[in-house]
Amino acid sequence: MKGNARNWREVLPVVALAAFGLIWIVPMIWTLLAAFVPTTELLNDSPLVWLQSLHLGAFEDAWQVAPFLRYYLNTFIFVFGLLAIQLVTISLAGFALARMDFRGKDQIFFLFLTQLMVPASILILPNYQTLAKLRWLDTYQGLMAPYIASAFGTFLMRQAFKQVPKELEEAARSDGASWLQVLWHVFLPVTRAPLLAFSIVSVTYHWNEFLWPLLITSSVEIRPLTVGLALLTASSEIGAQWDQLAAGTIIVVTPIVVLIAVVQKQFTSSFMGSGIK
Amino acid sequence: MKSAPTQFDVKQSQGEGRVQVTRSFTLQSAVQNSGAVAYVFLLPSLVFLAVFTLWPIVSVIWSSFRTRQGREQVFVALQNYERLFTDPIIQQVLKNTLFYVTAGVGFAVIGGLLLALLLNQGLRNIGFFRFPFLATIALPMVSVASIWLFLYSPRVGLFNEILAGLGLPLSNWLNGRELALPALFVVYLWKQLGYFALFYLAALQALPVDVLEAAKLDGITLWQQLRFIIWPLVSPTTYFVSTISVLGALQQIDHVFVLTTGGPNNATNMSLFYVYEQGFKYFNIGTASAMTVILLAVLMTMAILQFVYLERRVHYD
Repeated sequence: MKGNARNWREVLPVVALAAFGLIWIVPMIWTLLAAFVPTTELLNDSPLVWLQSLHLGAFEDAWQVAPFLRYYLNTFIFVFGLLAIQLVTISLAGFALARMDFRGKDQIFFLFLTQLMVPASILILPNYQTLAKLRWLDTYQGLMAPYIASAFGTFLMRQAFKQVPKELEEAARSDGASWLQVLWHVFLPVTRAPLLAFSIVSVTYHWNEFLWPLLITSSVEIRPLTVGLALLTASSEIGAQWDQLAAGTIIVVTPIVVLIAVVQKQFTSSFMGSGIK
Repeated sequence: MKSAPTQFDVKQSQGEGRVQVTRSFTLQSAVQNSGAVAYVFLLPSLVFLAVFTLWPIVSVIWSSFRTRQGREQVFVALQNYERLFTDPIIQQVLKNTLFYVTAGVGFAVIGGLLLALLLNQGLRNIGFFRFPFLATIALPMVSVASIWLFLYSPRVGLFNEILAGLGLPLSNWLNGRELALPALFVVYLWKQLGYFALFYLAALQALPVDVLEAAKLDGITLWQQLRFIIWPLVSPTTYFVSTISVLGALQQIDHVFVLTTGGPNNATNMSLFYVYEQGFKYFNIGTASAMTVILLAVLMTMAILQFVYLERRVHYD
């Protein structure tokens, strides 16, 4: 009896985890099947027939219906262009807040804090109005603008810079190095980990972003992948081109899935650090 | 600290013949110089912070008290708020939002902790088990919604296939008034549960091993261990997860767009989607602003409570 109880205690959690996993895996597999197996066969035939009728037709169709290559390029420009700018702004601001003394420091710190409290998505209405006044609608700078100042990134870098020993900084300063040189040659080389953590969070977040790009982009030359996919979805629903939709979904998510498969560990810790994304 | 930088300090550090001076008083001049340089370093961030975070807060509050009359904006006091709360669908919207928030917290805490406990049992190849939950965190909500649109589809969807296979009556899922909101919520949960579990997983791995070992020797049941040892010890994480799940639930909109666009008959219309509809579809800027202000108030209150809580823990722990 006691042996049974112990077995039960050991087996149940594994079974429960497997059940959880199944709920998470099945939708993904169903999507894969939908993309590679013609819809009629997926519904009417047995899995054996499915394997024989694997094809890439849906991908060719999806690729033709929507300009995914262009969308990829747009997403790349938006996501990595923004990241490059953010790395500059958060390093500079984080450095000033961590290592410099100046009047109004507390007040400025509080201004950054406000951004942590108010997510950008809540401010779509006034930010759209600002963008319209600046004539930045349907531009890359418009896509990036609300995220160029990043409180999350600034605080992350501030924290990292604070841990760099004072002696390193003083040695460089007494050699006559400017603050910018100190930041570049002394601080940034030893804070690669937080820079990478921020990069992972920023890239994932903006690769996936939907609402803001939906509102402000209107041309194929600016529109990112997510909005392109949503447009395809809207048209698929009417025409029920499920295989195209599934193929489109796979086209959009593949880079992200590959990214987390490669950096699973860093991904986990980065996202934990982000708290409020 | 120290005196504020003056124009003179800046000039001094820039003047050519003064380099020598700067060098000989390294520490002192470092402090003095840093003032002006600090503002330069902060400038790019501050400009964008001001224009895209601070100004919009002020401007949306301002426009929530005004409305367009002909070509002019006029002050209308609380009329926008009155219109907001007398909108026939607002009750439905608030009810849906409340459902997302409360069910969201419940499932984030219970489901997140349960999943974390399961992932924390020291299985081999745990990375393999963890992957699907991590993957959904990283997937775009739009793609997740597309996947589930397909699962819910009445004609070719997996769920109706299963129901048909079991000989049960088919369901309309997203097109039925009763099931639409819960069906949407399942999608949100499928995407986000792994995210909440991550925080619990970290908390569980930081638990003191000796306490757990001692408890095991005392022969307490699994439930007792969970209820009297683990639950109290992870309470800071529970507080944190609750907060971020409320913030997250209030901002959900992407999957509403893809799956239901708020329908059928507003059964899935909620907080941010309502703002979008009022502002960008019906151009009721006043009403949309009023709703934004209410969301802002809720979010800022939550954030302040969170800071107060963290502050306390830092001080008294």
